Amino acid sequence: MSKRAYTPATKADLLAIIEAGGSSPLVDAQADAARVASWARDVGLPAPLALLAAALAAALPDLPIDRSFVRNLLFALPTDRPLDALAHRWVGWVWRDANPSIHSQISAAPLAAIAADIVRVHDRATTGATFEPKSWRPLRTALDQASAVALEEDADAVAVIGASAWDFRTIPGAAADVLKAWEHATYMAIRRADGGSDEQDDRYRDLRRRIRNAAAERAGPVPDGADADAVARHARRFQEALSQANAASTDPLLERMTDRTHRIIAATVALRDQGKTALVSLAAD
Amino acid sequence: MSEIPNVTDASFEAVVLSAPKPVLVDFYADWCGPCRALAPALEDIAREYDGELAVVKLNVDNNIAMRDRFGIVSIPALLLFDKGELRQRIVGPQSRTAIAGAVDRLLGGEV
Repeated sequence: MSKRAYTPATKADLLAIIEAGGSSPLVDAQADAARVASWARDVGLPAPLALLAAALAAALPDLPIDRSFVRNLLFALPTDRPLDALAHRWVGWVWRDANPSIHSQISAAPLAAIAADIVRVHDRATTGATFEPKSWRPLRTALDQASAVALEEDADAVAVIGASAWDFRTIPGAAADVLKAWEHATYMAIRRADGGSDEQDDRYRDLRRRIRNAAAERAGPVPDGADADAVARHARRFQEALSQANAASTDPLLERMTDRTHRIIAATVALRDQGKTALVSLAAD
Repeated sequence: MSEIPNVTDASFEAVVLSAPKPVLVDFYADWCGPCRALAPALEDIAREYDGELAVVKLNVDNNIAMRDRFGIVSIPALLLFDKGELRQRIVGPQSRTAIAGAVDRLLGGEV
């Protein structure tokens, strides 16, 4: 629960900071969950919502943090009204309305039924109903037991909703964990479609390590950190050596896995984009 | 956020093996990134199961006797103890929900 309401004055202040390119835990990749939650309570935002927003805005490799999403969300959030329902509504959206919905990705009816029970609790929470933190336990236990005998793809999808089966007031990071579980399920789906395996991942990691080690050897010793120019020259040498080592590799696994990595990043970006759009839309609703 | 208390080789017997309630021990090291990533989930678990389960951590670099006694070769490693016995071992990064599943199974008498 927020200590105070999200007021028009607070909203204007936060928007001004974001639009001026200033710092905020929502757009700070280094901000840990405790800092985001503490900041959220101070500005009148529910911690689960702030942690979810920070996770959605967070940068993927080579991509900047999405400040425009944070600006749009802060702008869309109504002031002087309870906002605690929003994270619960977003979980319901992931289950029912995401494309593809998590519901549509579960083939085992008993598993889908337990996940639906969890979503029903979130739906009730959007009306202001409160639950004892322990009331989530039987749902998690049922899901855990059913998942143990489920197909891998069903279990990955169910884990998305399972990640939310916590009391958001005491475990505010749960809504953000839904996003992480969703991304993991997406990664696993792409890996399965490629016929991937843990052994293949291990071999790829080993190959990457050998290529990086070769590039590091060619780039020479790392200079003293106090000499910024020398550090920059070394970084360029390393990148050039890395490009050459990648190009020289004849292992077909490298090309296949690089292609897969690009597809996973693209899928994750698309997933976050629709999650962000949904959250802003729900906030404005 | 709650701080997970440390146990040592010297205190392990009293704090873990002789505890009246189940204990979850996080075997970690300061240099271990996945261990740091796991810390918030463990704090949540400690809060969720307060009064039913104790959560403690043990630095494997400084407490070699317990590391070797329980065969810890990879961290993070979570070991669940009850009545002085090791009941379950969870190795590698885990979600909060997966850890809770193991705890619930222990508290429910399934392991």
